[in-house]
Order: sequence, then structure tokens, then C-alpha cells
Amino acid sequence: MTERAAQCPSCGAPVRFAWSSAVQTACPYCHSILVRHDVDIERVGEVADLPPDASPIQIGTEGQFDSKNFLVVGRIRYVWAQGNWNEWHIAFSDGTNGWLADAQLTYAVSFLLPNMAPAVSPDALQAGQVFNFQNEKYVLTTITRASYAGFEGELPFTTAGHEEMLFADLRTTDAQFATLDFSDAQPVLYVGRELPYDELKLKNVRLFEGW
Amino acid sequence: MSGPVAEPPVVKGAKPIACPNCGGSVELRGFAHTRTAVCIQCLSLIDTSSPELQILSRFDEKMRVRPVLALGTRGKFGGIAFEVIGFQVRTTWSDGLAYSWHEYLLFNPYEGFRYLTLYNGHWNFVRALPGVPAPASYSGRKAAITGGLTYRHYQHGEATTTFVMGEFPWAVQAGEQVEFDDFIAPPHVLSREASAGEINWSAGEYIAGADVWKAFGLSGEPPRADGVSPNQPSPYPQKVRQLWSDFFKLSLVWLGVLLLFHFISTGKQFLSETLAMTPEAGTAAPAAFTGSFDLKEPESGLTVEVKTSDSDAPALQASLVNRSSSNTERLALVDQGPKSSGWRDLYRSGELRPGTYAVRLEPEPQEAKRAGSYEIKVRREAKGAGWVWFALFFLLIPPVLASRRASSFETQRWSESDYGGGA
Repeated sequence: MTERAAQCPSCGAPVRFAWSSAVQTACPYCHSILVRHDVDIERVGEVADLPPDASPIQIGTEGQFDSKNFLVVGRIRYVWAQGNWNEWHIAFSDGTNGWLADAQLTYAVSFLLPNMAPAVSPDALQAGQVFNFQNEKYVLTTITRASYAGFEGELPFTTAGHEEMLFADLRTTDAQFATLDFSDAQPVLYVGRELPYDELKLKNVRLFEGW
Repeated sequence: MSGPVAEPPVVKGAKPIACPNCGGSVELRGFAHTRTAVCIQCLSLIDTSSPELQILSRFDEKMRVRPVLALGTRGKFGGIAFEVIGFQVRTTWSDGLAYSWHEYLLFNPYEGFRYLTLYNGHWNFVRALPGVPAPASYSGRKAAITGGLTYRHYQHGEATTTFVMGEFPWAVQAGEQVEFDDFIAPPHVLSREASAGEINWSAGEYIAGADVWKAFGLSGEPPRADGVSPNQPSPYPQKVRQLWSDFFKLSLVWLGVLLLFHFISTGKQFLSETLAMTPEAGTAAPAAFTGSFDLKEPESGLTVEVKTSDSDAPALQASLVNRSSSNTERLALVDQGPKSSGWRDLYRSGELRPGTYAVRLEPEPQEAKRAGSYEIKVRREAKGAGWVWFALFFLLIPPVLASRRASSFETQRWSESDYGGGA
């Protein structure tokens, strides 16, 4: 993994990137939110403290998906009416990236499928609607309105400028799933799979008192 | 690796909270996952997701149910330890009767949440199902397919949460209602629960009470299992298969025995002949002889059958004449057939040496003036056949009984479903 060092425009501390394509990161010392434009680094705000959570995953956790090793480099924490969940940004050793979702200790790995999202308006979404991606039938199960509860580490896009997000969750008859993300003008499609904790072969996880 | 680790290495357990209603101490075991906790003293439901600790609702003291698995105890399933952190009683009404079952919420900080359900002493180990099963039909009824298994619809109902204890990672309300549909593929069960805009599927597997007790290291006996539960694996199919397979194996052995007997002593017919007695008017018919037959080996005894279709045919006395030695042996009558339309006499000979023989028939003197026509057969009976078939009949009893029990188990399984027989 390439590590490119830069300087925090706010405090001058060295800022390293574990994933070379990261767009946003947080300065580990002054907690500035830093967005990278080619060679420049811009400070766009300050990270708020993440609310306490009990995910066993943390920045630096390593794991495996389809026999490929990944490293957790960032996270977005979302909050919605019934609780919250984490989207851990994971970087694979071959330079690709994906997301490891952890919702009440249910784990799923997904990847962005560029230019594959159907042209649907979020207002036209309905539970039970059927979509076809990559020869698989997906049924829309839930529509979730969420907002950022916080973020940390390196992300492939900037969180600046987003207040409320709309997600449509789609399921197959087995563990495959897809998410339509309506955060931007054009919906974005993520496709992935739910998997049991043991299959992720996670290392460097958090420890829990009494366990 | 770059970037400091943001979280402390060991996540501390949550401190007990004070119940905003009664001030009692409420222990928390689910770390930051807990959203609702129940005060064990006053049964208030407390929203732990915000520091205000708002009371959501309260359960009536008279609804209190004592769980058989204590909160805070741990059991091992598939080598993974889970702690009991929540307990709820759910009730459904059918034909005016309330049916309640218990649900234990199990927690492991890495593996997540599982459930143990208990109804009438029958347990299921349950987890949330990834994916949505495909709708299907099975013999005209609803079914659901997932993971390569077809689950048959068992029942539809509405369940109300009538009591809770401990803590939950979701918002719990007293009297919360869900619509549920259960689908079965024993020992598996699929449950679909629908409530305000949300559909959840879960998958359970039947687990014996003794195994739950073992998982938790409990002494004593688990609650007694009553009746047959929807997805309880039937103990019979395997037993029935075994019994039928035993039956077929034994039958083969028996058939071997039968063949052996057949080989040693096969039945054989030595003579079959029709003989008419036509006395001249007013005179008695003389004794008549059949044609002769040869015995090449000594015989332990032959059967001689005399049959007529004429009920008025004169009664006879039968003898066996040895043509070689001119010895005549009077045959013993062993059986007499019906007299309605003719009759049949069975005679049995003693031991016979090889030689040439014929049957001699002599009409009874007082009936000798009448005419008659007879069919005569001389044969050696195959030995053993009767009792071998009889034994086979006895061998049939265990597999037939087991098959009937298996079918009555299935009837009982479906009796409480939406498709059950009687009331």
C-alpha cells in the first residue's frame, strides 16, 4: 500500500494516506476534515466526536473478503429513526476499495458499481419493486432516510455538503444485497453480500470488557 | 499502518442506569447496542438511546413471567458463547384462546444477536435471515424457498408483546403487534414478521431442551416438551426406513430358507385323472382303479385328493395299491371339503417305498348303485411353505406400525396449523 505524506493545512502535522485514492481524511492531531484536490489539501471543517458505539471493528482492523485481504481505513456512521450503523471504508491490497457495513453486528461487504444505477426518482420507490443487476433479481425491501452521525479516517469522497441521505435497500433470495444511494443528483449503486462474522477473519478488532 | 487507532482498545461495559420511575438499578449487558431496557423492579421500559432515559411504557405486574434462562447467563452454540440479555413473551389469539411463547435474546459482541424461542417445551435457535425468500407454492399451499429448501406455510397470525425483561437493540413497546407467517421444513422454520412498514425474516432450527440445558451448563430438567411442535423433526422417518430395510433383509433370509425347503422337498404331482363309476342298472359299481404312477424314491407320505362336482356321487373308500407287491394300503381320511356343490376328500398315505402304484376307489356299499364322476390327484406337498409365509406376516408388523405412527406424527404436527384437520 502506498503511503503519501502531506501536511495538515491547519496544524502542519503530517497526514498520511493508507489508501492512495482517498479524497477525504481527518487530521489525527487537530481533527480538521481535510479534502484532497490533486496536490492541495483543503480544510473543510472539523470532525465531531463519534457517539459511543460497540462495533468490534476499528480503523486498522484487517480482514478478508473472497480471499482478498483488506484494511479498514475509514468509516461513516449513519443515524436513522431506529438507530445507527457503520459503513467501514475498506482498502484492498490491489488498490481497490469497498465498504464493510456493520448494522447491529450484521456484516455485509459491498462495492460501487459505476454507471449501473437505474434512472429512478427516489419518489417513485416502493417496497416490493424488482430490479435486475448482473442477472440477479433484487427486491426493494426498505427505504431509509439517514444522516451522518460522524466519520473518521479516509474516505473515497467528501462528506461535505450532505445533510440527509436516502438509501433504498434491495435483497435477493439469498445473502446478496444492493443499495441505491440517492445522496447525489444521480443515484449510485452498491452491490454486495451479507456474511457471518467468522468469514471476515477480522484481526485487530476491539476487545470487550467481560468477553 | 498509519493513522492512530481512534477507539480505546477495550470497550468498557455500560454502567447500570437508575430507573427514572423507581430509582432502581438497571444493569446493561449489550454495550452501546441497547436501545430499550426494562427495570426489573417496576417493569418500566426505558429508552437508553438518549441521556434523558425516557420511559416508553410500563408492563403490568400481573403480566410478569419468570424466564427459565436467567438474564446474564451464557450458553455455547456452535462453539460460540452467547449471553441472555433480553426476554419477551409474545401472545397470539386463535379461536378465543391465547397461545404464548417466550423469546430469549442472545448476544455476543462480535457475532451479534440470536434468539431462543420456547413454546410448550419446544425450543428453536433463531437468527435473522439475510435475503428475502422467494414465494412459491407446495401442493396448492403457500411456500417459501431459501437456501435450496422449500418451506411449507404453517400458520398466519398476529402476535402481541405481552411482557419483556432485560434489554433490546431496538425500541420496544408494551403491546406491540406484528403479523407473522411461519413456514416449515423440519427441523427448520422460517418466520416472516411484518409491522409498520418493516418486514423481517428469520430462520430457526429445532433444538432439544436437553441441548439448551447442556449449552448453558444447567442442572435439572428442561421444561417438558408437550405435543408436536411445527418444525420438530419426526423421530420416525429414520426408524421407519430402518424397520423396512430390516424387514426386507429378513425377508430375503426367509426366502432363502423357503427356497432351501423347496429344494429339499418340492411339491410334485404324480397323478391327475378323472374316473367315472357307472354301475349297470340295479347293480353296485365295482371298485375302480386309476392309472398307475411310479415312485422313484421313497416318500414320507403322499396326499390323495378325490373331488366331485356332484353332491349325490357315492361316498368312497380310497386305498393305495402297490402294483409291484400287490400290497394295498387303506388311506386315512384327513380332511373333508364342503358338501354344497360336490365334495372333496383328502387322504394321506404312510411311508411308501419306490415302486408302481395306483389308487383304488370303492363306493360305500349302500351308495354303490349310484353313478359318480371323480377327479383324482396324487401329490407330494411342499413342506414348510405355510409357516414361512406366516412368519413373514409377523415380520411385517413392526414396520407397518412404525409407518402408521410416522403418519400420525405428521397429522399431529399439522393439527395446530392453518391447515389442521378438526377444530
